[in-house]
Amino acid sequence: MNLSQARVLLAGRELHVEDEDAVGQAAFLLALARWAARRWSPVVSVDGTDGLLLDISGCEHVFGDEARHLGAIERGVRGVGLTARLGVAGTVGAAWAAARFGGSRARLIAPGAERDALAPMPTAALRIDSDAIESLAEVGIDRVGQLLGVPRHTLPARYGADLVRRLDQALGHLPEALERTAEAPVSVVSRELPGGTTHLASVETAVRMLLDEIGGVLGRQESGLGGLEVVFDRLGAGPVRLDVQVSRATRDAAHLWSLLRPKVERLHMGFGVERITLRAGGVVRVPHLQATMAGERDSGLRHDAAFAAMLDTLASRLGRDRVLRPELVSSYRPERSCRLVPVDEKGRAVGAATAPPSVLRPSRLFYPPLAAEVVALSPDGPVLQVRCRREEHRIQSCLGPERIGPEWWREREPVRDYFRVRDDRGRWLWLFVEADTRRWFVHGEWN
Amino acid sequence: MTRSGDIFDLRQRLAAGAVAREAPSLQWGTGVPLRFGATHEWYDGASPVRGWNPPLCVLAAIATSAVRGCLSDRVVWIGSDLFPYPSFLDHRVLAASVFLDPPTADARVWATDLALSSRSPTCVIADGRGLSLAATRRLQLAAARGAGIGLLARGGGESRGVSAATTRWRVVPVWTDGPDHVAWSVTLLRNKDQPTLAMEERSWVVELGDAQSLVVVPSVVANRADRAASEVAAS
Repeated sequence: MNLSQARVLLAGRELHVEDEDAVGQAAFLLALARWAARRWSPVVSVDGTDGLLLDISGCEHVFGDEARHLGAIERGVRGVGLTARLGVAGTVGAAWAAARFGGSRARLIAPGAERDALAPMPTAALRIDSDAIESLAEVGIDRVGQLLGVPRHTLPARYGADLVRRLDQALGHLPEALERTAEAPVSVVSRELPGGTTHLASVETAVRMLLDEIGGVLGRQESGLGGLEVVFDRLGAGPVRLDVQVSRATRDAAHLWSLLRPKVERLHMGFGVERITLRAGGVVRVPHLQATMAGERDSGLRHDAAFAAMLDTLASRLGRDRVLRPELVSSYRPERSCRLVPVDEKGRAVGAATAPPSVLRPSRLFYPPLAAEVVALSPDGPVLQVRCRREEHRIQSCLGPERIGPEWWREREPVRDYFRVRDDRGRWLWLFVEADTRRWFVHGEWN
Repeated sequence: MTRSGDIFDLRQRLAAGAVAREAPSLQWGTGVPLRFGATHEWYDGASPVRGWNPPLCVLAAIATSAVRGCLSDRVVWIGSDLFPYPSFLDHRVLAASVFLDPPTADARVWATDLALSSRSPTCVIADGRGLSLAATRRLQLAAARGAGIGLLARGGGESRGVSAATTRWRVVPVWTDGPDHVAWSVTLLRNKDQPTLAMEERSWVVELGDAQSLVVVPSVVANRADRAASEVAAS
């Protein structure tokens, strides 16, 4: 409800109007997070403007069980004069929903019961934006249970990929890590647009001024932000939140604007935007750079910054799931020994211990392996002829076998014998035969 | 003019590119260096049945040379059909690699343009199938603006078309005598920096050595060695 609506409702009564102190509120929430981190869980994250997320895994035994832990938190918060709505669940999304929409019954959701607990809640419990909620409401979907009944493959095209991601996170199909931001300083800047405006140029100018302002604040702190949340408070409609993530902490207003601009241009302003708030997240120390005589080309730090800025632009336009980095994984199976992860995702330990010398692996791996018809001297090789994808290969050299078995916990998977073969045109292929079925496959090539 | 004024003026000229800086070049054994700040095209010699067969080993080996030689600190692979198997890559190239998967051909050109125009010295290896002359010119200009090098893998049938790339190469697998040698015939089709070299259509046999390095031998020498081996076998 905005001020005008409140005045109408309370017509004739004396009103005390005070400006919202977004900076003060953020500072208080941060202080509350630090206070909570000393009492109930070492991992506390600030969630938006009105919530805290606590990872209480392994902490409940200190209090007896989860219910007692919850009771201790409730009493502690009440003790400092605050009222809190609490929720506990096996996933961040379900806990978030339980706290805000669960009421007194569903505030403690047992692991595995997320689906049943979320079903009667409104779709807003999934942490999706207001546009998606409105689109779902237009077709009569108000509850999560109704949404779960819709064929999953139809959802991304109609309501965006974010809906499916949030649903998967809430149900525990996708991991969601808590970012420990409680100790990091938070910067918030805000600007009022009296009376509201639907003029795009005005909104863009205000956002750019705020970016300069927050850049100045961060510059004085020798800091940079890892993410930025921009909230547009609209007249007669709910707020709209835009998020920007950067792969490397920055305070460069021009770069942040280049990421925000396409999103701001698509913003639905309703009856007018009356306030814009920028909140910097993931604030970390970024030292000032010494200017160099020969310009920017000679500094490794500047190269990194330029490359990170490029990745942010790519992720902003293509989507973060299309800007990837390779990561080795500890697995014997070639198709599982590496994976591609979003470039801004924090890495896990590299399984280099099991990685073989790279020259023994093909430059290109086929996912899935291509079925092949093979003529061999004996069932275990050497290979004389291969037919794959309607192409014949007369084999001149055959090296192998190299036996690759599954991990012990995947004992049902067949053992494979790999061969490196060269055809009469000099082309090298990587073949394997399954030890039990004797079926042959082409798994890669050196091209 | 004061000393500080001189320094300011020089910095302005450097920033504007008025003072010429020589772009580095990558020597990879053929005697025809690959110049940074430019694009270089690589045509495959695949049969029509197999479709596109990008020369990943050669491109990966060039990226390895660039990273090990400190000419480039990042490698960007653009186009999912061009993604190499990560276990094949040199560990330093693997750590420096970013894979981009643009959904459309237009997005692929845009992403390549952006990567090439980066001020970071990046080795950009992109799927360049179906590029028009205008697109190759756009990418060549982007590379000239940036500090990196562009290696565009193209389809074999496109080598007859026009292009603005600085050098153009054809890569075809060849048979060599070694028991486990992975080898290709690499032919220089065009070199804008030294046009007379292209007229001679120079050719080399390139073998993949240990640790992702390339062993390059001129085709004339390689063929002579093959003939000698055949004669010895016959006698």
